[in-house]
Amino acid sequence: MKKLLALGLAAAMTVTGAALLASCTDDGDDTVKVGFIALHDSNSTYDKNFIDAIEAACDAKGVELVMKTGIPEDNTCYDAAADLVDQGCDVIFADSFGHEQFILQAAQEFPDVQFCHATGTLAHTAGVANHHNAFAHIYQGRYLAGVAAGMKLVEMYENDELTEKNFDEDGNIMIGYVGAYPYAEVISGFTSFFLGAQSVVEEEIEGVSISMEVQYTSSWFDETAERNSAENLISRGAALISQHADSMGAPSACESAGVPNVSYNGSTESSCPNTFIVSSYVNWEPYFEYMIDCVMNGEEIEADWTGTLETGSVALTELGAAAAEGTAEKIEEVKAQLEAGTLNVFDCSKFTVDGKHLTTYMADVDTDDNYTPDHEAIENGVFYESKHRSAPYFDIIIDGITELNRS
Amino acid sequence: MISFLTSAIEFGVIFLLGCVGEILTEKSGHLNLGIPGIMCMGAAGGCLGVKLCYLASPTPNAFLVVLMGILFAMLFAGALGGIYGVLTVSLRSNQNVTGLACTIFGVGFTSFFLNNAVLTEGVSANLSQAGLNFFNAPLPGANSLGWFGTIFLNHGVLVYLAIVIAVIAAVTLRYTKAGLNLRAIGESPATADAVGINVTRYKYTAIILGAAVAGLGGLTYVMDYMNGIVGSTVDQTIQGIGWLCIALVIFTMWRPALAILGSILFGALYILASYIKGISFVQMSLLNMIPFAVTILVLIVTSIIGNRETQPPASLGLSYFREDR
Amino acid sequence: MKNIKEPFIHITRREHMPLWQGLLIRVAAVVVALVLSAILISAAAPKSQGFFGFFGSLFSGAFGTERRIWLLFQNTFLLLGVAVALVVAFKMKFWNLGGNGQILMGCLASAICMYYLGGKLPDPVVWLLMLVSSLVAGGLWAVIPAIFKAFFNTNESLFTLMMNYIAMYLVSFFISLWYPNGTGAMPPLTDGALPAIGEGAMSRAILPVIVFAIVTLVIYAYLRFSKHGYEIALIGDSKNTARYAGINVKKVIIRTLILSGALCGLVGFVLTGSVNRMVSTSMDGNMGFTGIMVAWMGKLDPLIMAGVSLFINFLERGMAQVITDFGFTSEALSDIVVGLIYFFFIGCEFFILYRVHFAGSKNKRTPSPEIAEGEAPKETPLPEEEGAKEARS
Repeated sequence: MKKLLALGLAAAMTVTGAALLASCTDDGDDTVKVGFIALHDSNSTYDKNFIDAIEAACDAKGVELVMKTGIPEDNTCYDAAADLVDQGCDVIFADSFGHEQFILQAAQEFPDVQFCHATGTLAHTAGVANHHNAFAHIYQGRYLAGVAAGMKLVEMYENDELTEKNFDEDGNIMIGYVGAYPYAEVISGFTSFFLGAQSVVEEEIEGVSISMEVQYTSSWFDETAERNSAENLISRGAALISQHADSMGAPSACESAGVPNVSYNGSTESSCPNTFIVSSYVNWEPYFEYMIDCVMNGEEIEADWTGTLETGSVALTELGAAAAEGTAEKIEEVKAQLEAGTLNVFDCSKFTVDGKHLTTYMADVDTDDNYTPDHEAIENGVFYESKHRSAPYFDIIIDGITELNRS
Repeated sequence: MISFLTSAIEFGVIFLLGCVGEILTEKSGHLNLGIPGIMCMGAAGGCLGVKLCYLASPTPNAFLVVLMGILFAMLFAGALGGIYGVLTVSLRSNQNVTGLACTIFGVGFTSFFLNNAVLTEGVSANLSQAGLNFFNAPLPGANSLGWFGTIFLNHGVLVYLAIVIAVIAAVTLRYTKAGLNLRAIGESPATADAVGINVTRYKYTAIILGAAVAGLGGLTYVMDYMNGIVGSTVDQTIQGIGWLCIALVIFTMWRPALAILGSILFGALYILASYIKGISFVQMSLLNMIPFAVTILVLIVTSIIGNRETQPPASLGLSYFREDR
Repeated sequence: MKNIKEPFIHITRREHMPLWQGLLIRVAAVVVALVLSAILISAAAPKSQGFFGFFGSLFSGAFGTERRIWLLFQNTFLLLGVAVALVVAFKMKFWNLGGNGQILMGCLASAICMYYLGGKLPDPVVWLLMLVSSLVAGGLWAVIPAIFKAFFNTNESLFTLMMNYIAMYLVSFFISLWYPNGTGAMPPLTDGALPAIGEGAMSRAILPVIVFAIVTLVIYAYLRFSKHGYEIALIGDSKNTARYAGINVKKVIIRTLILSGALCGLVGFVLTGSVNRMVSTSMDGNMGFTGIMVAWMGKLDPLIMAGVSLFINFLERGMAQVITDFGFTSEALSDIVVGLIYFFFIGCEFFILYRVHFAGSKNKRTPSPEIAEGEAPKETPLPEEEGAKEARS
């Protein structure tokens, strides 16, 4: 009896609920509706970057925004996308790498809705017209952040702040980098950072260069692992630390040890006033405005949209108090060269692999299970990053960089 | 190596506090699976305490900041412990279920509270300043005594407090009348009741005090270990630490004194992966399993040996009904 | 001997409470918790939709579109499956807290089959292997703690809890092994995936719904009507009584936990084979713990548990909508509301099971039913069982 009652209650609730709400799907008007899928929520610096940008863009364009946060990289993403379609969205954006497969699936099922995805790699080969990837030439931002780091290293060198353990056996200044995973986006990021710092140090100090140790944490967000990795790098002699990981673990270890830190995706000035130098980040607002414009005007969105310094997609935060004198001017100088095209970040004459300069490299641009290299990336002595697709594909470990751990 | 040992101690005391808190609770016969949530509440409360100091004055006194952090951490954690106490002692509800509910609530509440009530404009700067300068202020001599100074003297006040608490707990449980009474209740509440011990009062005291101590663990994580920087998944991290604390209680066979060494060992194992050169991700997964595998071994071995000294309190997990005596 | 003062308040077990009264108290407790949540949330929200808006959003999130209703039922039956798996052990007073790990092992076993054999062997063969390996993996994960409990009385709550973590790191081990250059998340495996039936949201939801509806009914019958079920209930009542009745307690514990773990493994099989087609360290969705709450709130009765599971999923999906509509940014709000409901429910149990007497009142102390030494009294004296017990003693 008791059980029948319980079942009956459950059934009654279901029916009432369904009846009450079958009416509740709205929309039928003509304003563009934008759907947004975030991996975490605005408490994560990675997602906050996207969330702030999309809210600003939707505000500016006067369109409606529906946000779904806390969507993990599994089938829930597909369900979330489909739910957004049900709610009448015209374009849906997802912010995390692992969302792509599910977004692609949804795109195939709902050909009238546009699906855009950050950091993804499949759009240019999948052949699904309404699935698009987007990223930015963030390596340029990293390079500039590296320039700031280099300036700081030079200042520390000249003020005799470096100790013996900060130099490796070849007399190069050591720096450290905390990365999440050993794949192209991260490798491209730390290599460009390294090259930026190296260019300044080699220019300003006679006969001294830098070397970098990289430690991976195998997680995008693991506070303790990031903090310990930074500590490990510092105890091994790093004079400066940068990272590509979403928590405050590494900046916190730097602040505690008094070691300068270059951050990513947001300024850490308020919590780390003594060691924050600068942070590079991707400003997504230009892309979002472009995306909304295309939908409003019925135009095609590019399969691989890659923002640049000109579009304002690649940006640096304000310099921290710890930055060296003259950093701002130097950054402007280098930035102008990058924009003019007179300076290339991955200039093959500026780095070597196994002692030799690269003249050719087949990058794995088209995603397949075997990671087969398929596109020649080097033209005229320059490795063109993010040219064949928006997501980075520079995954070479160059001389001067040592990985402390690998998969 | 030195940096590894220093970090192991600094991290280990977080486990120590959670473990000692849970030992106190379990000695009274209550298995509190809400410790993960309670430790989170401690972190939330502690941050609020520090924030209040800065609201009162832009350059607060270091001693006051630390004190307020500790008091509020114990308050918040003790409150959730109190809820667990009311439900399991007075209302005789199932301890596992109540503990799990406490964890679910505590973790969620902490995340929500920190992000909405504590971390308003400018507070994160205050918190990290407090964490770096006040909670992490080392003992004198830390920098001048070489490796000894770095490993043993270079810790914040909470680390030393944790060890003091563990020692006090060990001494109290073993040598004082109150400790004896508590242990008696844990073994057989009916017998203790018959002898005139106020079972209810002891249980509540043990549960709430245990929760307060565990809450300090959460405070230590945020303010000492993470230098006052509140990350956005702090609740998940502390929750994971909380479950390990429950494991550590078994590992140390319900002895606070053993917990001091055991917690540093656990702390070392937990952070080991970041300090080994050349380790692959695959190996890291295996490394991370070790604290749990070791705990299982201890569980098995102590139950096979069956030595009375190493067993859980006999009435652990059971509610006490005087009427059934 | 010290003089024991007569306490001001003393508590006695109720003999029995009419069914409708118990249900009413529980429903009232939940309603109070919900109303309290609604008040707090509509007062504190950045974009408050008001008190009734709270309930509107709850229902909209759970039932608003056909897709949402299918998802609700998919999650309800998955959670029910876990709860039923755990109930089998709980009836014996064996605290299987390892649901998460057992589910993950089922997911992992299926994923391993899909990864290594998918596309190389005919699909039906792969499915069969997936099913068998998931059941075995889940069963293994539960039976290891069970064996030690049976022979050495090792504490099962803690053992099964630790096994959860080992399972989690095993999963991350394999993901790192298979995708060394990846980001820790694996892409969906297409070979060997279970077939989708029907279209859209229904295609993934229908399998869990059917499978676990059947499982629930089967386990209900198993526990209620079979000899095994009787043995389980007897052991849960009192191990000594069961031994005197000639039951091989060790064997029953081991057998039952194999079943419990295997059922969790089955959930893993469905999760990896059909719903998600991949494995991740959080694929269990914490159902191992939520399942405990469902089992307990459902009074260890599979049919009531169905209603409880529906309610909890209704809350979770509804709260996601509330968070969006009310302008919150923190996902944690859902846990707070669910936690509150748990507290109220747990609290109200007391008033159902016990009657409070104040000192000096004229209520005669009702004699409590006999309970074996050292055992905790049974949670719910259902009228039938209570009467049967009286007859037996």
